[in-house]
Amino acid sequence: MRRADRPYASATDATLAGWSAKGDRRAFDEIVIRHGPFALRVAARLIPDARAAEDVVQEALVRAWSRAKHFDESRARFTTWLYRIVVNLCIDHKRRFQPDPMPEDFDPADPAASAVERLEVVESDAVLVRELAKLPPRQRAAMTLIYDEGLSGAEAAQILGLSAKAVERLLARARAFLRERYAVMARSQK
Amino acid sequence: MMTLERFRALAASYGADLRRWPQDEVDQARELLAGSEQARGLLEEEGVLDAAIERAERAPAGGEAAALGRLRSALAARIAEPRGWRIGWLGFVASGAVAIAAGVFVGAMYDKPPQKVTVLNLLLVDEYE
Repeated sequence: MRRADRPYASATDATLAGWSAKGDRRAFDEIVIRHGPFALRVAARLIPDARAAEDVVQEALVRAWSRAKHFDESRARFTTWLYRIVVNLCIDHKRRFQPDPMPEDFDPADPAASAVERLEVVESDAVLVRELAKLPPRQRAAMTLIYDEGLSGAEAAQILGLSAKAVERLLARARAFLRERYAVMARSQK
Repeated sequence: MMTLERFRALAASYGADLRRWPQDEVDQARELLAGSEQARGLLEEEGVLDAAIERAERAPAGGEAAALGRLRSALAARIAEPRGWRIGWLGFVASGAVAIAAGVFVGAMYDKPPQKVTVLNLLLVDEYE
């Protein structure tokens, strides 16, 4: 089939990846149209500097283009393959440029205490945004993939290269940290 | 039947929205939820944190399309045909050119009359003189 006749809009991701591997830039552009928004959203949540986030996404997609011939449909879904490249680069960037993140093994001081008492609704979203940025990269990535992008724990685990249990622990630590910070905010506003 | 401890662990990881929970555990979680006030209380607590996170995560609207446009332009400028693919075509063209040149050379050799003086001739002459 000549390139001009290729049905880009209706082609599957795997087909587009195959065409991209043979140098079809239009096929890759279709991939960017489909999955660029996801990559941009995830990067924006992991990397607070918007320009840096866009640069990382660009770098990730250039890598995807040059590695398209290595994509193997029988081993992984295209989105898992692509998102893994994007998320890993975001995590690497966040690790390099986040000088003092919360430790990965942070545990809450008192997880059994009544959260209702501590979690009073307060209008301190800006503070919570700052606290979200303090999360270690993998915790932040797990939250973004599951909470914001609606991926299942299993899908997020594949992208992050972890077990589903490990992702569950990342989420639990992230929430414990946020719960703690949120409670501190609530107390300080009383 | 799911234990309250397992329910608590899942709620602490995935929050109050059961759609995020592992699919193979949701039915048991619902069963427990229906019969346990404690489980309902746990989800209510996690829901407060969910709402706060959701407000904090809310992305500013309107920037996504522009960012995608910038991304597409930048990529169009940066990506080229994969190296291996380009070399493959260059190799194909180069080997074609070599084959044509070789054909022309061989053809020219056969068209020419035999040279009067060759190394072989000289050797033969030396031998018989």
